[in-house]
Amino acid sequence: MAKDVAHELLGELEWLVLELGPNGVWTRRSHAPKWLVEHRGEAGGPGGDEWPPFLATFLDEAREHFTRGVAAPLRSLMWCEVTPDGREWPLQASALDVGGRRLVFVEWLDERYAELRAILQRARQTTLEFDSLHREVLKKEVLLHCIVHDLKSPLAGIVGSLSLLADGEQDAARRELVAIALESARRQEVMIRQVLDVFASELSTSQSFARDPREAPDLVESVRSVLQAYGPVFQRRSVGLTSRSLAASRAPIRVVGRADRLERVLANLLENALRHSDAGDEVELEFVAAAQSVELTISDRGPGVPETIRATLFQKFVQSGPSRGVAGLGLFYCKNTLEQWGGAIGYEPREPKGSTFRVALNRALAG
Amino acid sequence: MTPTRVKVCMLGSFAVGKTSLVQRYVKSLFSERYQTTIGVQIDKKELVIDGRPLTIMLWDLYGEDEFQKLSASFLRGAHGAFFVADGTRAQSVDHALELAERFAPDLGDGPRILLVNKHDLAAQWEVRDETLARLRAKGWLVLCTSAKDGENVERAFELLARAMLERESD
Ligand SMILES: Nc1nc2c(ncn2[C@@H]2O[C@H](COP(=O)(O)OP(=O)(O)OP(=O)(O)O)[C@@H](O)[C@H]2O)c(=O)[nH]1
Ligand SMILES: [Mg+2]
Repeated sequence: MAKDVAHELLGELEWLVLELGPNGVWTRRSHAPKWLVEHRGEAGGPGGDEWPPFLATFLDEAREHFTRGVAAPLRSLMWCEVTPDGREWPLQASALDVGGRRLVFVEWLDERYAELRAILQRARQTTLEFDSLHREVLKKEVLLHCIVHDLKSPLAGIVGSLSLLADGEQDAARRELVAIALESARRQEVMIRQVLDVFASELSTSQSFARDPREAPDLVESVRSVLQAYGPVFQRRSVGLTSRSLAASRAPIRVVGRADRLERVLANLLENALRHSDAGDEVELEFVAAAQSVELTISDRGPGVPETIRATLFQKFVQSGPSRGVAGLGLFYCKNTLEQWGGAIGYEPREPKGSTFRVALNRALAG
Repeated sequence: MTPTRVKVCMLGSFAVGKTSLVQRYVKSLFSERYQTTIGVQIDKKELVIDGRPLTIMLWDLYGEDEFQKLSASFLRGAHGAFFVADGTRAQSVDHALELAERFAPDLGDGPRILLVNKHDLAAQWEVRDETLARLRAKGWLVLCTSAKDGENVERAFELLARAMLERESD
C-alpha cells in the first residue's frame, strides 16, 4: 500500500526514479514522466532505451559516483527538456544510495526554477545596464575632454593679439577695454586648464606618484617655483604674496606625491586666493613640517566662503562667491589629487574676514 | 549510414549570445529579448558534411558569472567547444580565454573556436583587431559572428563540424 502511494505521488509530481541494478542496467521505478515519454517518442518509439542527452551524461556520472561509494548524494545541474508542444521542463537529478539501493531521481522543479530564473535574470540584466551606463559616461567624458581641449587652442591667439594691442599706442578708453579683454581671456584660459586638470586626475586615478624620498617632490622647491610664477600676476593686481616659511627653510621637505601636480594644487589655491582679494590685500602661504606629515596653509583677506556652501565646497561645479568665481573645479581637483596621495584639504574662515585653506601632505620617509 | 553523434559545448560569460547563436543556427530565429539560461539547454542539429551524416548535440550552458560557476563535469564527452565572447564587452573575451584555459584538460585535443559575437553592433564594438590578430597568431581560430544577422554562424558550426569529423577519422 505504502509503495503504491509513493508510486502515485511520484507520478503526480512528474518525478522519475531509476535504479542501477547489479547487472549495470538502469530500471525505471516510477511512472514515466511526460517529458520522458515525449522524448522517447521522438527518439524512436516507446521503449527506446535512449535517455535524453543530459540525463545520459548524468547517469554515467552517477555510475562512477556509486563505484566510489560516496555517502553524500550527487546532484546535477538544472536542465530543461523541451517537449514537442514547446513546453519547457526544468529538471534536476540526484544520485544517492538508499540502504544499498543505487537510485537516481529526477525532480521536476517547476516554480522554484521560475523564481531562480527571475532573480538571476534581474541580477544579470542590472549588471549589463550598469556596465553600459558606465561605458556611456566614459565616452561622454572623453568627448567633453576633446571639446574643452579644442576650445583652448584659439585662446592662445587671442591672448597673444591682445597683449600686443595692450603694448601699442592708444587712448585711455581703448587701453582699458583691451585690458578687460585680456583679463577675460586669461580667466578663460585658467578655467579651461582647470577643467582639463580634473579630467586628467579623474581619468587616471591610478596615475603613479612617489613615496620614496629619492623620487618624491620637494615641497620647498614646489612652493618656491609656484611663488615665482605667480609673483608678477599678484603684483599686477597689487596683492601681496608672502611666505615666511619659505624664507626660513633650509632643507628640502620630501612629500608623497608628484611635483607637477603638487604645483598645480598650489597654483589652484593661489589663483583662488587672488581672485577673492582686493588691491592692497595680502595672501600668505606657510608650511610646517612634523615627523610624518606637513601642513600647508594659504590664507587670504577676501570675503570668505559663505556658510551655505562650505559643506559642498570641494565638490565638482560648486562656485565660491556669487560673481567672482571661475569654474568650481579647482578645489575639486585639489581634493581629488591630495586624497590620492593620502593627504587632505580643509577650509576654515579667518577673523575678522578671509579664508584659510589647510593642506595636509604625508612626508616621504625612507623605509 | 548511421550519423556520427557529437557533443559540442557553448561556453562564455553571461549574455554574450550563446543561446542566440544556437537558436540562429538550429531554428533560424533571433530575439532581442534576453532570457538567461539556467543550467543547460540541449539542442540538436543534423547535417551532412561531404556525404557524411552528423548529429550535433549542442550543449548551451549558462553563462558564468559571480552567481554561478561552470564546472568541468559539463564537458564530459565533449568533442568540441565554442568559446563565445561579446565584441561590445572587451572583458568577455578575457573571460572566454580564461575558461578555455581552465577547461583545456577536460576538452583534450577536441577542436575549439572563439566566437566574438554581436558583430552587427559596430558602433559599440570594443575588441581591437590587434587583439584578434594576436589570438590568431597563437593558434586560435577566431570568427566574428552575429546571431542577429547570421554573419558567420553557419560557417562557424561547419568549421567545427569538419574539424571534429577529421579528428574522428584519424
Ligand atoms: N545585436 C546583437 N544582439 C545579440 C546578438 N546575440 C545575442 N544578442 C542579444 O544579447 C542578449 C543575450 O543573448 P543570449 O543568447 O541570451 O546570451 P547567452 O550567452 O545565452 O546568455 P546566458 O544564457 O545568460 O549566459 C539578448 O538580448 C540577445 O538578443 C548579436 O549577434 N547581435
Ligand atoms: Mg543562454
